[in-house]
Amino acid sequence: MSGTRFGARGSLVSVHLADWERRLLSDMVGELRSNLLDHTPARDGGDGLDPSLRRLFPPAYLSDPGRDVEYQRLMRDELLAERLDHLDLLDSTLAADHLDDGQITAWMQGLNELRLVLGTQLDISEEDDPAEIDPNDPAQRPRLRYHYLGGLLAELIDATTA
Amino acid sequence: MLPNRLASRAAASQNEAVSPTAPTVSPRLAQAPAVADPEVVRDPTNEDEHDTDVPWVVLVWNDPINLMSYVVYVFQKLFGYSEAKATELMLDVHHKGRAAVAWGSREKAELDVFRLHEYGLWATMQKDN
Repeated sequence: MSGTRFGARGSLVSVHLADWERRLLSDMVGELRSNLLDHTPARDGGDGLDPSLRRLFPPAYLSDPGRDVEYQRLMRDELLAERLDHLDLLDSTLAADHLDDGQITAWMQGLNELRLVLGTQLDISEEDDPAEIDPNDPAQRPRLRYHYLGGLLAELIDATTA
Repeated sequence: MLPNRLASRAAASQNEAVSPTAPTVSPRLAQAPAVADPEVVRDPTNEDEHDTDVPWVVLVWNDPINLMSYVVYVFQKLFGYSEAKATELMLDVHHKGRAAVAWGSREKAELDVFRLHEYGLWATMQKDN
């Protein structure tokens, strides 16, 4: 992938994604959205949460489970609502030519969430090397998607901070 | 795009010097046993006694997924750090396993943790002893 999928344009960022990329992102966003709605137990303090979603709802009080239960009771629904909001904004702007500040934030958070879930499912390590992936092996598709998302997010950050 | 309740709490925390806000958690919850996690830094003091006058620290922990450039971007955007300072903090997270990125009242720390969680960073908070 070349680093030309996003470009700085004043306060906006221009988007240059191929149609297959927009379709792929829409599919992944839809899957994550369904997963969040189906498998995020509200206000349960963490018990029963789909393991692949745990990185999206981390503890706030690591050394105090009592306080963390209370924190999760108060905040999990709000965090879920925020995640659904920016996934919706990402999905609704996949066909856009330009992104404004709020849309850029939604894209970054959404792309990162997709990576967090995939990376958790894959039990990814910092040493994971995309060069070792056989692109013709269907079993490697999730790893390819994980690294694809990383490249996309890095380019968006570069364009935003240019 | 913070929830209204959080925005109001943020506004409240700005006034805490003259009117400390009450803890949001029932004191009885603080009696729960600590998690048996080797990475946890235990707080040996009574957690209930100084909620309003002991500052809290927000920690960001290392993880293998978040991009370094993304972490730097989030530190700059949320806390207004310079690129150099945000990079230094990111490298602390990467090499030392964690970094302290913000301090303040319990309410402010909870708001900062929530905002970091929104961006997918692994953030926690504890008393700054």
